[in-house]
Amino acid sequence: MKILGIESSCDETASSLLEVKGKNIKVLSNVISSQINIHKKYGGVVPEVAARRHTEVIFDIIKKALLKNNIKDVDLIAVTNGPGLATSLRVGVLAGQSIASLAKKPLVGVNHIEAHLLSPFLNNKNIKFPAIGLIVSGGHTELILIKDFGKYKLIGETRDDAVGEAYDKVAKMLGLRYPGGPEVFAQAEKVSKSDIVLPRPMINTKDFDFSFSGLKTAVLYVIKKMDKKQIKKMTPQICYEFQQAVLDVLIKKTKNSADKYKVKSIIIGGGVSANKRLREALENLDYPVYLPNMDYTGDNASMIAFAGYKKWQRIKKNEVLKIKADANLKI
Amino acid sequence: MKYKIKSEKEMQNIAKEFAKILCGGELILLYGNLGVGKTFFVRELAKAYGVKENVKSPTFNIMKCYKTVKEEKVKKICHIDAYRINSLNDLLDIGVEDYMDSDSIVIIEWAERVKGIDKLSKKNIKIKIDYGKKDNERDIEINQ
Repeated sequence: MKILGIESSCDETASSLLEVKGKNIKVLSNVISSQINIHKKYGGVVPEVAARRHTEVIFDIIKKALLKNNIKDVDLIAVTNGPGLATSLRVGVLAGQSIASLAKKPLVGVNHIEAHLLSPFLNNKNIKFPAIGLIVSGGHTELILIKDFGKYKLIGETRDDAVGEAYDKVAKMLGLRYPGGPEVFAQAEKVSKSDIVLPRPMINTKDFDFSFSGLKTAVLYVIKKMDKKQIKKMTPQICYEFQQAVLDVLIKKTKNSADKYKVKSIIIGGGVSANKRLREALENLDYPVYLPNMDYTGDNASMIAFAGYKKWQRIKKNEVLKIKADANLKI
Repeated sequence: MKYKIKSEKEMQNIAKEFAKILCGGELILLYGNLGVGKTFFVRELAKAYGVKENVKSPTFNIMKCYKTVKEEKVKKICHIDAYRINSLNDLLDIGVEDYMDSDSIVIIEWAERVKGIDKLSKKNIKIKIDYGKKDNERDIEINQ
């Protein structure tokens, strides 16, 4: 079975062709057109610019993803219909609906978060349920209990800022570039300890929620006491301690939730899962931990195709006329 | 109105009192830098109207609306983050006018990023939040 995936929820336009034969999953293509360079000058994603750019490139990206296949060779089309930026989502949904209608192929709508959650399945065969999934990205920080495909329970989330957003904002305060994740990481790698002390928000609460807004404010208080020269000198140490605070909280809550629900695996998804230190810290936990390949950490359409395939197995229903872009879609 | 506050609790009280004077149809513009507590203020304002859902930073999704439960005059709070927005046109493109009803309030963070934002409505209220001398202190100015 061949599945065509389409993704346009934020600043990447992506399409992918996935082939599933029994238990074997093969990514035939994984095409991504990033807008990072366009958004860099604004220090973040600009919604209208994003939507316009999606419109310009989406059909070319889909064509590239199809390789030499005709659309008639595709058995299913899967498109992200939320959550994300409303105007950007609409571009992908409309493209999916048009192609599915013209080619008379079934279309399913995919929840972007579910797709991130399932992204480690693209390169891991032995993931066992129940599992705890940690989603960490620019817009999300969530802990989800997965009982089976399609059976998810949100058990914890950020109460204010997402992890990736906190990275972006701290980077901004320190005069580093967008996106903040790789920049802050690179600064932190320059040192092996820090004299700065930052809080670990909510680390000892019994729930599985997070809060990163206060950590951002704590960084601000540190910077406010310094002049420009000092800030420049201390940037690696600030980044190191900030990252350590983030990791401590993420690891502790993930472990606590895994213990509570007695899970058989821990899986991670989302852009921040590309962070090397986070990957290392998670792999030290006493659970089998499954990470997506680096290609599938950020937004991509292979994960959309896979989540769409799993949904199709469950519902066997063409949603072509039913799908609506929903910016606040819940898992 | 000017306030000097020393704690989150005091900010909470100001948000509560502020909620009482709104009748719906207002555009509230929030000014202030990273970490001064803009989202915190909106969260407390929403709580004052009985919104049960936790108000999160809308930086990623740009806009989020909440239904109030207690208050009769204000039925909906629409929370917008202009951190990633560059112009009035961008705001109009995402449909900000559709949310400006007489029974709703629209509250926009990072208003300073959008030139001419106060032209959106005649009923606009500006709130400026700034750092005080000490870490926990804030200066708040509300102008109607």
